[in-house]
Amino acid sequence: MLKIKFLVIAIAISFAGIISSCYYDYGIDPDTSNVVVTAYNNTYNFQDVSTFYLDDSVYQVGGSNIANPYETTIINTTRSSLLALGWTETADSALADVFVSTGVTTSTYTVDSYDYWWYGGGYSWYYPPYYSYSYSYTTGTVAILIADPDLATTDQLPIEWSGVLNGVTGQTNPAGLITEGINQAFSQSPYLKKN
Amino acid sequence: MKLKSIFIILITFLVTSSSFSQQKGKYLASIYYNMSFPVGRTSDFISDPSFAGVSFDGKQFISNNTAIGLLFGWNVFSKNETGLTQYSSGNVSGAVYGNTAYYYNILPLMASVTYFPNTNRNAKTKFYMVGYVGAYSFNQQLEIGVNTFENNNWHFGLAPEIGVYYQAGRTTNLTLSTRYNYAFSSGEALNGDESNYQAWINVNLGIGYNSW
Repeated sequence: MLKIKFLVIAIAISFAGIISSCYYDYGIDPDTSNVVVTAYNNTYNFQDVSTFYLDDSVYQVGGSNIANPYETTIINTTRSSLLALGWTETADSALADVFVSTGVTTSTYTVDSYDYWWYGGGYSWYYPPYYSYSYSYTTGTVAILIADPDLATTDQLPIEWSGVLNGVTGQTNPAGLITEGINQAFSQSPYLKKN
Repeated sequence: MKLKSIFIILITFLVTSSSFSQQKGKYLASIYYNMSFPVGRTSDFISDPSFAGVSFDGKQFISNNTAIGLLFGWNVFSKNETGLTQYSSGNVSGAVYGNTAYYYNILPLMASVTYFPNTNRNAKTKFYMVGYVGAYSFNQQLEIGVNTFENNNWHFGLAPEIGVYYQAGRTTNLTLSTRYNYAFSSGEALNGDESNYQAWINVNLGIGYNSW
């Protein structure tokens, strides 16, 4: 009887070990952190609009105040991408079917092993100082928005398309990554192409 | 001849009755390896099957063919994608280019009623049916690049199960079963859907100890 009980317990522990080893945390590496996310209103017909007005300021999202040496890259790449898709630029906002605006922001995250402790089995489990870790990283975000002024309410402009680039800062050739990301945002949005 | 037939039927009845009567109060304790196949909304988030899951249960017979019990376990679904992923939710559609990872960690905590139609203790193989009612703890995570979106909810749930029980040794048994899990809508959906129900099918391989 005892032998069987021991066997069942041993199998249970083995199962738990097997299962936990099966659980794969993909653990996205900051070095391959770059993502481009686009979203659009699927009830809006982008073929009905073709003229854009591009605001030549890159805004600081959320009132942040960061140095942005890539303003020209962001504006020029956005402009060339839209022109390549067959849109027409106008310098007069009153003549534009849509407004295009860009913005940037950064966020800093800190990961500290001191935050990962718990109480179990009568003990408080924690990382001793010689074994603990702490690191932080900053992500940068570039956003491009398209809105239709004809749909504006008193003080709000509904966004019909957005492209967001996000990645960890400090990577080599940031201007190249921004250019690549903006191009990717438009290339993954085929509905923006003029027939 | 007629008397002989009646005698055989009577003896059979008495023998089986005496074996049934010993089942009440006995218990079963089992551990299961769970394979999981998402359906419905769960499949919309992660369509890949999962081969990582474990559960434990204990049952006590309250009559000769009915046992009540408790089950707890852990099921996990995960998927990693690189490249371009399209999505759509309501009026919003779009695409994500880059690394995305999707996770469900589910902890079921259920009460059960198990019914064995065949109570013949001499039968090595028996079919059974289980009805579960209880709660599922759901942790849903979406990682886009280094950004994590997470949702934790407790769901009320129901799960019917059918299975086959095999008496492998005097106190050791093996089971093979399939269970449909339905977790009723609870909390806010990560993608903004009105309903946040979840559903998946488990295929379970179990080994257990029986006290008779």
